[in-house]
Amino acid sequence: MNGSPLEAVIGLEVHVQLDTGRKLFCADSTAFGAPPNTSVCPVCLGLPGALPVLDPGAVDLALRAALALDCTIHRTSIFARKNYFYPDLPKGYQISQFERPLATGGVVELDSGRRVRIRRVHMEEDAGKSLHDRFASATAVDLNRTGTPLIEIVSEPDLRSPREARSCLQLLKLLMEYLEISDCNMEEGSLRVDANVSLREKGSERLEASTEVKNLNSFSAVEKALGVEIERQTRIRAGGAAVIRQTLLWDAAAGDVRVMRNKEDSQDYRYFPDPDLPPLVLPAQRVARLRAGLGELPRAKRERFRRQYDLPAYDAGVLTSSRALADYFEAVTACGRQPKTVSNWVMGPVLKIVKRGIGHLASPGLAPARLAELIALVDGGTLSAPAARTVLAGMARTGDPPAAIVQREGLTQVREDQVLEGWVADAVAAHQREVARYRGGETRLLGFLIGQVMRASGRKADPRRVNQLLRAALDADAD
Amino acid sequence: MSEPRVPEPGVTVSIREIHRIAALARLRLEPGEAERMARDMSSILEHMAVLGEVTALEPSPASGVPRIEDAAWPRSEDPGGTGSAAEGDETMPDPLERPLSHMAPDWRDGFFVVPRLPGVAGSSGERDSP
Amino acid sequence: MRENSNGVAARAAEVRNGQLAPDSMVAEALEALGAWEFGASPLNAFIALDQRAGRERGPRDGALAGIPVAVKDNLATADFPTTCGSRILQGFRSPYEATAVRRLRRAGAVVLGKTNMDEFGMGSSTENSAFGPTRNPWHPERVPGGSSGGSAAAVAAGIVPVAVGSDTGGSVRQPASFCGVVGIKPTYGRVSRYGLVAFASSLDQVGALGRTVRDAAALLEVVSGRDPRDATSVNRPVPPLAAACDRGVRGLVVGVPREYFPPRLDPVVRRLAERALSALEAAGAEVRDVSLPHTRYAIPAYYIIAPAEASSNLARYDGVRFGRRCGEADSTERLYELSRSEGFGTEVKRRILLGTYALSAGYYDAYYGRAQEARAVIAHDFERVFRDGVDVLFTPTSPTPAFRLGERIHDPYQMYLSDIFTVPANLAGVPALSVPIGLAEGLPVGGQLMAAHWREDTLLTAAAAIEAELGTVGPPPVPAAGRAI
Repeated sequence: MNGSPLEAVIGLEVHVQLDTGRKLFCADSTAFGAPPNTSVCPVCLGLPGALPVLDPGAVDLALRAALALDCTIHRTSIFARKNYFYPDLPKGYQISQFERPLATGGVVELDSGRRVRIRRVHMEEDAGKSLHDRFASATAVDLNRTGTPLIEIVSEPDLRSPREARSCLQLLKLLMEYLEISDCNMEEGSLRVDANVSLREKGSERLEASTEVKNLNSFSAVEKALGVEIERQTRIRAGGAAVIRQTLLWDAAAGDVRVMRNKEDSQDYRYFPDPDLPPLVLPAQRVARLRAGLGELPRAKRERFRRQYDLPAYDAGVLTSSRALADYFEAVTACGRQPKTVSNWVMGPVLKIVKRGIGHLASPGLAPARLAELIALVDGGTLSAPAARTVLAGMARTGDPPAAIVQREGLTQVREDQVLEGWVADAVAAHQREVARYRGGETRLLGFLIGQVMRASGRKADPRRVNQLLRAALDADAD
Repeated sequence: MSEPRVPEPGVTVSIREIHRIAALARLRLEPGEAERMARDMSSILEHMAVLGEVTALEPSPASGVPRIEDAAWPRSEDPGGTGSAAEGDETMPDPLERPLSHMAPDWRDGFFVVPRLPGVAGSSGERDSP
Repeated sequence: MRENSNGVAARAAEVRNGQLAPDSMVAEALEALGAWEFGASPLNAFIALDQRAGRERGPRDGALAGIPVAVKDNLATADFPTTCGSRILQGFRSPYEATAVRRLRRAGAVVLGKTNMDEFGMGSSTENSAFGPTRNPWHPERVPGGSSGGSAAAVAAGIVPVAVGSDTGGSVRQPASFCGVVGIKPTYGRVSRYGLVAFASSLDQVGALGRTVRDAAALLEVVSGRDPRDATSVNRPVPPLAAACDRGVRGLVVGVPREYFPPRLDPVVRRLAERALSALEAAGAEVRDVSLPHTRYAIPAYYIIAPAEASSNLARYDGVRFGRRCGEADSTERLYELSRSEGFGTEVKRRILLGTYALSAGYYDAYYGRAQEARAVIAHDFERVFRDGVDVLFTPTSPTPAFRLGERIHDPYQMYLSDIFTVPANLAGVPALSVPIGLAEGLPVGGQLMAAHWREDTLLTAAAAIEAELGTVGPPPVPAAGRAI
């Protein structure tokens, strides 16, 4: 052993479920959670005589992914059979792509600036599910998942640390969600990842024996498992032994990897072109249309948001995490509102409403023009910010325009000093102890007292004016 | 190890080879049967050696899928854009005319059942397959 | 020759307009079946039968109204078992129906039963069936050919006027030739394979057998046409096939490929083939010698490609979801091995092994890859000859008339050679047909016609002319009940 430092060489194989709602080669639903063996038909059951027919919708989603990863799209690609026996693989083979995949040679750039090359993107069908704890000493097979459309994204081993592997996966997930290719729900298995890892002396270009770590079903699992595996390989090398090619399984509960099988006894899959499926020939027009339809990708959009709207990096990142959100923000801004104000409204109250399920971005009440109207009411002083949040919820619920809600609920901001001074006097009278403590130097109690005034006003008081009047009242009486 | 590019004349399939192939195909051969199969296959492969003479067309067929000019081999050109759904609701799943329990050799609570797979722990969903 | 009054088109018309009771032809069929199947040496043409077929009341409509049809047991049917002649599918009832069968029923046909076949279509004699061999109606000690031997025998015996078969390397044409009936393998992609249990997917086609050229054409017309459930079926208009039978061969260019007339060819077969060519010439066709120089690669290429695809297609018979499972298996691995080893017959195992070998690491390029290259050059031979002005090729269908039961069953390669003239059309995907051209010592001999892709009409034109000039050969004499063999 010489003393050169070691570096990790990591590549990812990511399976992404395509959000077509149906299976790749038959029309059964892929909705999660159906009773076992109910989303099945002769095709995905592999019954004698049944034949696969490719869903063109899945091809479009796979192409969008490949285009977003900057891949070369192949005019002709070929579906191949990967032959192996397993109880949840009904035909005894998986339809995948092998020698002639859909796309090759792409790249993604991490925030760190690291360029990760994408070796290939291909389409394939998922297998079913084997449940080993359903019956004593027997395995239960559920074929609902069989035939679910997937793409496999294979990266070159360009990642150098578990942290980088995690960021790469996060980036891929963002991209797939942004392009509405997949919901990337890791718990439900719509995003699955395996990682290849080996160690080599820094600066060396040698390819060392790598291990494959499977069952990485969260971002932290990717980072932790790779950390553990790198440590294990480091120990093996320190002991003077060689790492052998193995497939390992990450055991999240134990926080360790265990050997699933040795690669030496790897199976002979006897791939050959599937004679049931003619070569997939993509007309150039179709690819061009999809390419044009991709629009601006998240990274470019984020940069533009920072520049064009002068937004902080954080805001730009949140707003560009989905295309729908980014479009929404831009539509509200286009109505003439100040971008940072719009950003605060979208990231705050609007997303809160969406998260609580009160409304969604496409709700009529939340239409960009409506939100812009609401912001204009606040900017113009008609509405206090707290009252505006109440109005927004009402807009989402009822679909009514903000002015109508303000009118109906009598939420117009009260700015007349006469009225405000009455509420201020009431608050001072009702909270003598706090007033005394404020005057004794606990100035932070001002906020509490403002809150009391706002509450008394039914959130209609102009908070800025209340602040001024309250301060004046407290300071004046102290003299 | 270099792979032969053409079938070799005089090739014989050994009993060991037959057992390896049979294992891949999940077939169990009786001792006598394996020998007979080895003999039959060697004799059949002897006749295949003539394939070594074939001069491939240029360009050679794409990964084994035949290249037939007159579209005898249909191509999925613009999938979804061709064909007439003359048969009615062809995009719906073909309904099953009888329940799966009628054909399944072992069926319990809505599941197909096989003997417990070796080497798997109790956790569900894990599979010793790619 | 005009449509004869016994043809299926004419009789279906009588059913449609009420001149013929809807179930009368089914009743005739069952009567004929009784004579052939319950004597001393039953044909054993059927694996499953519906004695009550077509008895439901009400009028029948469609091109095949009231016509009893026999269907090869590798087409999925919801009301009969679908066994493919295999123990592994004994008693299996498909929960869905093949497109070809659906189309038959929609055309008013009555499915009388499912016919015997070599297991999964692997064989040329119908001896490789878990349900015993089928006999040739012309001679009880001869094979009917295969693998659609049950369908061919049922038509030859006059039980049904038409039957559905499937043809992967000659499985419709060779038994049609041995039994003295007409058999058509259409262009690859012409008939949906949905519900046809796969043997070799890139070669399999559903085919039609009939007592006459017109009857076979009527059946083919009903089952043809694109099916969205089969990605390899093609959206091409089906030419009017009945009209094609009346077109006449004047000016038609008939090519005679010399590779199909080797010196060793059975002299009787050669003589009958030459007679058929003379008949075509007499009817106004131009006969021309041609060459398909790569024909010798057909059998080796076929016996790599077909087993390779079969080894994968037959992986689904694993005892997990349907079909036979060995009850004693205590592990899934043993379950696979025992179920498959007990369920498959010797020829099926031989081909699974051959195909697995040809696809396995280290052999793929030498076998599967080479076979695909050979397939491409064979297809190119056909393209060239049709481009050079030939309309239809004429050859013998098989090198010999029907051989004896048991004669070739222990010599796989000899058995494979009975497909030597039929395999090239499957490799090239072109349509082909076998039509009777005479009898050799009481055994029928068939002539094969092959045309360019999608030109089934040309095949039928030529076949109808041969039929008109030479006449049909059947039917064979009905055996007397209890007749000793």
